[in-house]
Parts: sequence; C-alpha cells; structure tokens
Amino acid sequence: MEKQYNIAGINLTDEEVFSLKEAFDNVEWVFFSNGFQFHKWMEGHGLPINMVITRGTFNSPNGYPLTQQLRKSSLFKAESAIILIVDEITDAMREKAIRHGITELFDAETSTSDALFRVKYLLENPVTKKVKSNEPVLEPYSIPWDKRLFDLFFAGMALLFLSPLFLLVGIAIRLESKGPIFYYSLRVTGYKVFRFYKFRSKFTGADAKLKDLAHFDRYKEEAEKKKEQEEEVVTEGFYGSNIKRYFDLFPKEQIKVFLHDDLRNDSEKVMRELFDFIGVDSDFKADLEREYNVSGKPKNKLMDTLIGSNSVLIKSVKAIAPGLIDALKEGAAQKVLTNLRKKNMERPDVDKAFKHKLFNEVYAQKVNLLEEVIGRDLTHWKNKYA
Amino acid sequence: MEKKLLAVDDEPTILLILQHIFGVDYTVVQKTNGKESLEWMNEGNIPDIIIADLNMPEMDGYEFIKHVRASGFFRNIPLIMLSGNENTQDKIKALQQGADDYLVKPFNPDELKARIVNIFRILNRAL
Repeated sequence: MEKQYNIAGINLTDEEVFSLKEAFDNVEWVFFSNGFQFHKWMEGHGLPINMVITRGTFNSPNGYPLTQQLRKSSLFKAESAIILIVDEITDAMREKAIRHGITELFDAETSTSDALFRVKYLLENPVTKKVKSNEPVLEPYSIPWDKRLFDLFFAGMALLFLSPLFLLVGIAIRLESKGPIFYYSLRVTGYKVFRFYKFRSKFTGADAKLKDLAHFDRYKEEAEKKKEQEEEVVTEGFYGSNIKRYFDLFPKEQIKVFLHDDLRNDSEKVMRELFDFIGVDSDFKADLEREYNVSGKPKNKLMDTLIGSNSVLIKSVKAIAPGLIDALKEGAAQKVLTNLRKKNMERPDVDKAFKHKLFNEVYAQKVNLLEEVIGRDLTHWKNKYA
Repeated sequence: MEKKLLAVDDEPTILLILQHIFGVDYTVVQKTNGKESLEWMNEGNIPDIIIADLNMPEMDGYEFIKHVRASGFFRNIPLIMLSGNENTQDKIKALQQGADDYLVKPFNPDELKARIVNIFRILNRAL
C-alpha cells in the first residue's frame, strides 16, 4: 500500500505510537524524542511533513517553541497541522495555541478514538484548503451554430448585392480626400480584440488629433459655466450671510433692510420708511405704479431679444444716438417698455415637493441667520414650507 | 517519559552532589563547561532543566545563558545558576542575561528543590 501522508511524532509514549500506527495504514511515520531533533532532521531531510504530533508541556521545547520554529520555517508546509498533547488544557493555553500556530490541543481527557478521528480529519482537510463555493460555475458564452450560419449567410448576401454601391462609395471617398477608403477602430468581442472596419468618414489620423483639439470643446466649457451659474442662483438666496457682510462693515444705524413681503403688503409704508431713513421729505409721493426689474423667464425669445434687458434694439439705438434712450426714459416710454417686458416674463413652476426640500435642506438654517442679522421674526417664511 | 537534568560544573564534587540529589527523579546529564553542554544540546538533546555554574573554563556561565536564551528551542528551559560568587552584581548580571534563579554555594539541597518546583509553578501559571 502506497503511503499517502508523512507524520512526525515527537516525544510520544509507546501506547500513543502503537495506536497511531494501528489506526493509519496510509501514513509514513517518523518519530523523534524532541522537537529540536525533528527540526534538525527536517532541515537535512526535506521530506514533506503533513502533520506533527508532539507531546510536552506548553512552554517546553516540544510545545510552542517548536511550533514557532516550524511555522517560521520555509520547509514546513503552512497547511500542515500541528497537534500538541499536554497534561491539561487551560483557556489561556487555547488562546496562545492559536497565536503560535498550534492546530489542535489534546489532553488526558481526550479519548483515543476522538484523537484518532481528529487526526484523520485534519489529514484529509488541511487548514488552508479552500472551501468549495456553492456559486454556479459560469460557462463562457459561445454563439450557437444556427445563429452563426444565419449571420454569415445574410451578411454575405448583403455584401454581395451591395458591392456595386460600396465600390461607388469607395471611389467617392478616394476622390474627396486623401487617405485609405477604410477606417478601423479596435472593438472587443467575447475575449478578443478585433479590427472593426468601416468606410472612412473623417480625415486620416483624426483620432490622434482629437487630443490637440480639446480646447474647441465648447460643450465642456458651457457645462461648467452653467453649473457655476446654477450654484450662484442658490447661494444668492442666502440673504442672511449676504447681508451680514454689510452689517460687519457698516454701522447698524446706516442700514435699513426691507423684505419683499413688506413691499407687497404696503408699498407706501415701505417708501415712507425708506424716505424717512435716507432723510427725504416724507411728504414726497413716489410713483409706485411701475414695476421694475421683473424677474422670470422670457415667454417669447424674439420679444426678449427686441425689448429685454439685453435688448438688441435698445443697444443699437444707444450705439447710434447715445442720448436718445435716456431722453426717452425720462418720458412715458420707460413705462411702456417695462410693462412690455413684464408681460413677456413668466415664472417657471417649481415642483412643490422640491421647493420644500430645497427650503428645509438648504435655506432653513440661512433663514435663522437672517432673522438674527436683521432682527426680525421670519416664522411666516418657515411656516410656508413646514 | 524520563526527565533530563543538565548539570554543568567544572567541580566534579558538585556534579556528584547533584546526581545524588536529583538522580531519583531525573536522568542527570553531567557536563564540565558551557561549550560542552551546548554541543550536547545541539546534537538534539533537550534537557527539562539546567543547573549551571558561573565560573567555568572554555565558556563561562554568562556566555552559556546567552546562547541558551537566543535559541528558539531552548529559551524556555528553566535555568538555575549555582555559584560561589556571593557578589550581588554577579547575581544581577546572571538574572539579566536570562537565568531563572541564582543560588550561592554552598547550598541547601531542599532549597534548590523548592526553587525548581517554584520555577515550574511560575512557568505554568502563565497558562
């Protein structure tokens, strides 16, 4: 019978040697009186050892000093088990055993049959042996023969019937620009990279030029600009921090803050307060019929181009006769213009849920700051989105 | 399994006394200096306990302790120094090198036995 495993027994009793030899007929045994001898033998001999069974107190040279040396040695296989037989196992010993690479501890309590069972198990299941996964093994995909046949047949037919057309296309490409008729790029199929041919539609070497022309990519620039603008739109609403900058720099009594709500509710009162604040005669009556700086999105693009804040019409008139617009503004023309502008503006509908989200996640804290800065209660703002 | 006691001393009388004291419980292996002892150990012999003199020819006690403690296999073997030097500096040096205990000659056999029991107790207390 061929021996399957090699086991080294160290400092074992005659009874232990006897029962081990009897239990395994597929094992080649080597016995030593101490671990040091075994270590020396291993270094000179080089026979691969599948297991070491050693007896001795834990701290003795046959105990953990031996296993330490073995686990360090390149001659000793990492997956080979080491069994230490001691008189009595303690919890601290178990812990240390793991740290020092001892696979199993036996003591006087361990029955012979248990011990032999463990030895057999550890021989057949080395520690580092991989546990088999339950996951199904994936078969690599291969194209079914009928599909392949279909593809070849119809592609072949198409190639055949279209070849006159292809010839013309080829000639056309040749005549139009320098370079080959076909162009190829690398594609991946299955696990192979192949050349994918088509009629050339670009200049030769266009792929290589792409890098040099990156600065012509206006989409990228536009996207960045748009993102910046969008962020600005949000931060513009941080009134608290925006206003605080003024309060930090100027004396409080030089600043007067009005809310849009005030203007809406009682515009005359706002104006009175404003005039009072800046020292204008409070009897002065302001014209509150016109609304300036109406915000929104242009309804009609053409109309906006003509009369909007960036009006082409006004700009060109300004260019020809700089004084004319100002003169017109003095009169009723401005009123007409702002009304027209207002009519061309609409406020886009913002999703209600989004408004609430935006307020609670972005603006809520900022409103608290604003309250603090201007010393006014803004609970009605918060309630609106509560 | 027979336990081995390694006795290292250049005085034959001491070796005889140790054989007499421990001969019942141990196989007493007698060596006359550190070098001889290490050679014997390196042949593949591991004693369960070592009792060694400090002043010896060829390789003295300090050197011997150093070699034993440097080895991966021998470092945990209980090692008791037996010396005529009563000098505290010598005791400290030996203990620092890695001796487990230090006894001054002449010694009381019962004390030596008690100290050996003690060393094994301490060694096993860690577990």
